[in-house]
Amino acid sequence: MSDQKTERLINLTMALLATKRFLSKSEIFETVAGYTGSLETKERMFERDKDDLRALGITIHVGSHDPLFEDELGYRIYENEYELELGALTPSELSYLSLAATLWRNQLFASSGEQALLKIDALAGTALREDFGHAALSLENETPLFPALWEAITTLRTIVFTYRSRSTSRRRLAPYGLTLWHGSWYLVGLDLDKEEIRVFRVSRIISEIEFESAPSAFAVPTDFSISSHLVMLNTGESTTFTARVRVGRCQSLRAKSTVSNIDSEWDRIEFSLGGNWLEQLLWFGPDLVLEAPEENVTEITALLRSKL
Amino acid sequence: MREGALDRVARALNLIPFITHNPGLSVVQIAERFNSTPAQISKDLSLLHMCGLPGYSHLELLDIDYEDPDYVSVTDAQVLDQPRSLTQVEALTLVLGLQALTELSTNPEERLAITNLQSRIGALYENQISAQVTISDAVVESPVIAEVDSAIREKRFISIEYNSASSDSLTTRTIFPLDLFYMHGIAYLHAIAVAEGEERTFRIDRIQNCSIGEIDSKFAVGFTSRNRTSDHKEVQIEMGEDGLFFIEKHNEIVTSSKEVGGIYQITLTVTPGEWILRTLLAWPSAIRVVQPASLSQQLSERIAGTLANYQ
Repeated sequence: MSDQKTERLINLTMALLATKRFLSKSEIFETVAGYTGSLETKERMFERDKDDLRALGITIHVGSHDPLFEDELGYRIYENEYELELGALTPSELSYLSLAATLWRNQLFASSGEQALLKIDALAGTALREDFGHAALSLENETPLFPALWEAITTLRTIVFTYRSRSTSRRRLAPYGLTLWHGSWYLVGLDLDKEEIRVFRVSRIISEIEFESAPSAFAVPTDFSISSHLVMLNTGESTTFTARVRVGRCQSLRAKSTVSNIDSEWDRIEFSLGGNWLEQLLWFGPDLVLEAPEENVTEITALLRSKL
Repeated sequence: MREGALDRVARALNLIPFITHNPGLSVVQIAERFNSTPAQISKDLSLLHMCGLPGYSHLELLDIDYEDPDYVSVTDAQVLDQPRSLTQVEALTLVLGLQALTELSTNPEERLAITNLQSRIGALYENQISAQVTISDAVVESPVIAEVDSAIREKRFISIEYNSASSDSLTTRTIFPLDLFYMHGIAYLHAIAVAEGEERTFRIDRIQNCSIGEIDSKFAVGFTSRNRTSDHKEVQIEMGEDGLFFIEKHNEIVTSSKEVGGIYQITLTVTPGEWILRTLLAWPSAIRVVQPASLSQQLSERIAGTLANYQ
């Protein structure tokens, strides 16, 4: 882009922001620096400039500056829409915001966080920030489909995608929300074929997100809350186990057990574990021998035989 | 690299309020913040110097002082003194970031302040954001996180009692903590292990005790981790349909995978040793190690040894 064009776009933004009333095209051509040439050239320039500013996320309002004569339209940018307005921020609030912006490692959020931080620092300056803990903390997650899902959710469009679980299938969904859990995104919505609210792990979506409907195709039920649909938050019943463990071994399990000594080689421990007990116990291999409950002993030995 | 046509306009509009509220930075410092070059920022500033409001006399032009590249300031920002509003994704990034901070915070007052801030940003977008996108998990609660946290800030050594999962042992060691990170819902600590002279990663929930040591503000400066000889080995395994879930869970070590007739053939890159052996042993279905043969044999022996305890 030429310097002249960049300059003109900045001048136009400033003029539309400064005006307290709608500026007509002819006023813009007369007063804003950079509009030259024939009327037709200026018109073309202006149309492109408006598109460019909108592409930058700047909302230009179109209206009439004279309510009695609506024939000539005018343009302006409202200050309260253009500017970031968060009210007065304390030094610790500025610190929280700057931390929130820098927690991210994945590309989408890391770069939007960087942009957000520039704006926050343009509110009050970096000098006011308080030094605060967690200074180098990052969230990690993957997000290639995020922008499309986010758009579908915010504009209420139904979507179609291919989902791979134990089997692969096409799913039609009215997307209600996204949630980050253990570093992965989960999509919650109404499955339009099953007519039920379902949870999908975004990393198991193996196609692009196709928009099926136009915007505003559905309404999210007013009593909907993401968390009530998250099956993975239900760790299930926990079971109390008794096991023999070798003296000095199974450290992380001992930390949550009651321990009694058997002999110089073995201790006996009692502890509770939830749904993933098999994996947790097998981790210790021959250093742990499960004694009770009976059915869990049967399950662990059957699994070991199948693994041989 | 050519920058996008509109990126320069966007940057220019952000530069003015940024410099207005951060006067006295050098062109080099500004370029760093804007991911740009000092030459580009200088060009931007001289272009902005020509912009202003209709009239375009010295009273209407942006007044920027950049003669001295070590001290840039804006004397008159005209209508550009405030930053632009946040885009939806920027607002979402902040709202989610704040939500993660409330999960981490141990102080109720701090939590309240952060929650308030979150709703102020949410309100700019009619609270859509916080209802539609959430964070569902907290960092594993740990009694030592506050100590680790202050040690990072104060640049102090700490002495920890660490429970290593792969070796199933409890060791005491002195480390210099560098930063915390949060992955798959678990908090990890990056630190320099003093005895080894290497950077290591520790899981916060496996630190059983932590005592604060001396301050050394320069310890990490210029520290280079001793060159670790790359001891990564390739491991090939085969498993049934839950191979999909194995790949998902151990994403960071999977280098390739394919499914043939319900059998998943997965290649991993790992450091040989207890960790991979225990991971394969603990997986709740059968896994065949194709190679290396030594790992295959170790795994069979470990399974047989575990099973022998029950006979």
